[in-house]
Amino acid sequence: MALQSALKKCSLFSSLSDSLLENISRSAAEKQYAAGSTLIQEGDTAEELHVLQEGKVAIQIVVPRDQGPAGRKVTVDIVGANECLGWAALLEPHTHSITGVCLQKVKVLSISGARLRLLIQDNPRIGSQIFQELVKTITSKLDETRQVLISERLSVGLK
Amino acid sequence: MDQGLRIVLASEHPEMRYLLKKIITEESGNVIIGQAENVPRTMTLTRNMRPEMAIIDSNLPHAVGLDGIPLSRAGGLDAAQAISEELPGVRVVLVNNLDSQVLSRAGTDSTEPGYFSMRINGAAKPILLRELNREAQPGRGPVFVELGFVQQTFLQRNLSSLSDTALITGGFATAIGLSLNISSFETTIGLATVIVGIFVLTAGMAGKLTFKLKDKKQ
Repeated sequence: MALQSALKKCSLFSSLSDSLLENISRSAAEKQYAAGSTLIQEGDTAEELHVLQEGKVAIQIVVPRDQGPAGRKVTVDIVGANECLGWAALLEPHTHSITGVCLQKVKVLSISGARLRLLIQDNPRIGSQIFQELVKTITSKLDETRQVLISERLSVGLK
Repeated sequence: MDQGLRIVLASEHPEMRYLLKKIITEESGNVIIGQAENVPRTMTLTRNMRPEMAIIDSNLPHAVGLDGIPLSRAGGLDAAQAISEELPGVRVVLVNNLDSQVLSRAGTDSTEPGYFSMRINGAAKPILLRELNREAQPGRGPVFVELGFVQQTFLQRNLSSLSDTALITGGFATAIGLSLNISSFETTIGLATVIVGIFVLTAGMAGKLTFKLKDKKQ
């Protein structure tokens, strides 16, 4: 029941019925990560979708440098409680395109990507609802990013 | 640590910089050599001033904004990682959880009962620079610290001094009670005084023990 209510708080699963949530919660496990640890690593296979219950995670992308072997990490977003991480577990090619670094002690609900995909395959209604919410989330993130881009460009131009 | 540290502070919030400066300079010898409100200024200051420690707010913006214009405030970790990589001699502390509760108290010299706390993957304890200095080792990357405010009740704040008073009073009462018994002057009153004295003494010892255990845990 606790897992179900935790799932319900996440927009991706908020429109699902209790019985469907119970079904998904059977593939979920609570995990904890220390501050500074890496929750997901860019380039790794996305095996789980994470729902943040507590704490904050910085989303970083490695940007190649002109010189030197290692790329530079750039934070593009900070996600908090009830937000989702690791969408790549649902979307092909199931490879993380970002790195998630825990800024605080983080508690997550990790859902097996393989089992969730199987559930969606067996019940397209779940899939339709989840993907609708996923599109809404991505659209909202895109909108926020556009706003920030505009603001930062304006800010630089007005200085 | 005896000669203090030269520190750079980076936070968009002046009240946060005020609070950290106050706490840091309370420990003798430490000097704030620069303050920054965004990532580019933090990097320039740190590269030019070469401090021993940089304390950075994780929600640090990349650009200086105008009121009401949304900015990305996700630059603190980038600055902390870049400093650790470029200047491995600098101890880097990344502070998190600057919520409205902390910020509203940070800018004032309030006498509200409690203390500003830090948590490094453990129990919350008062912010101490010597602790941060021990945790943030040069070349090891940033240390992640959560800031907060711990409210205290009268008993929590005065546990140690109340326990001392109980120990002295209890000991004194027991001694008087025993002397009354020995002198056979007032045996009933003497016995009652001894019992009360032992009870107060035990309460004092329990208080002292609780304080010591709490201190050890922190």
